[in-house]
Amino acid sequence: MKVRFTLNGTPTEVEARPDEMLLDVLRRECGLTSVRETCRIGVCGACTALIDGKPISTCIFLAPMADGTKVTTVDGLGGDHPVQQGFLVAHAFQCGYCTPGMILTAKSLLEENPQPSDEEIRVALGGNLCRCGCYVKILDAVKIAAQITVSQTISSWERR
Amino acid sequence: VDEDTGKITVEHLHAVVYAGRVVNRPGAELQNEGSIIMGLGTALFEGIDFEAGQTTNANFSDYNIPAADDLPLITHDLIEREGAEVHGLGETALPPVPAAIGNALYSMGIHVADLPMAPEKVLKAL
Repeated sequence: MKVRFTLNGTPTEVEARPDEMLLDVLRRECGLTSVRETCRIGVCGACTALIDGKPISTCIFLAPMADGTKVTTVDGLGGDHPVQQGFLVAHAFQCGYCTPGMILTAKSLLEENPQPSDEEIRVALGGNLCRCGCYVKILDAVKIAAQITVSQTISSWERR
Repeated sequence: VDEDTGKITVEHLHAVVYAGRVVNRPGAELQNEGSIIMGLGTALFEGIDFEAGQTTNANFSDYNIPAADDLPLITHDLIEREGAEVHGLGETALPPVPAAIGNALYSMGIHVADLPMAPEKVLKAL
């Protein structure tokens, strides 16, 4: 069947089976290998994509359910998004496997809650596992991203 | 230690690692922090179960690894020495973590000698 959604800002139509998960479609049809297959049961968060801004485990999200939504993967953030800058400045990765999911979950957190406490960041990222154990620096990265977002907001107000 | 459930709460892990000469400081810090976190998993959650030669918990549904929400306060020191060579420190801080947690339990009179120190084992040892 045909599934139509907006993928990283571009209207996209893909061919998918009705019983297939969005993860497989994003990887096979769209070539987006930043969406990672690991546990297949929605526990590890490596396959996270944003569906209408909310972090979703695409390994347990049927592809047809994405019809008409806005799908964002880390490829759609452009490379200098505040969360990506935060991860770079804090050196918040070793192998990098969990990073796309972490970045998308953090982006969604900061949109809902621009100044989260340590506890709120830990809870929000609780569904993204990192086997290298980079959590200490990942928490730093999210805090830096929050600061960058605030200073960008202030400077955009000053420019008005 | 929760005496009703046997659940251990680790409040603080501190690791001191002899690092010789540190070349890539963030990388060295990541190794130390990651080692402590992986050691915490080994100590408290991670056990592979077998039945008839096959593992029965081959996915995250029943093999738990530490997440951001499970962490105690984590601190560490990299000890450097003037004129020292560059050498590896990968996972140096990992093996002592289960021993440190086990010794902390032992100091409270609770002896758990095999890993992971899961609540049911702690409860039995109480």
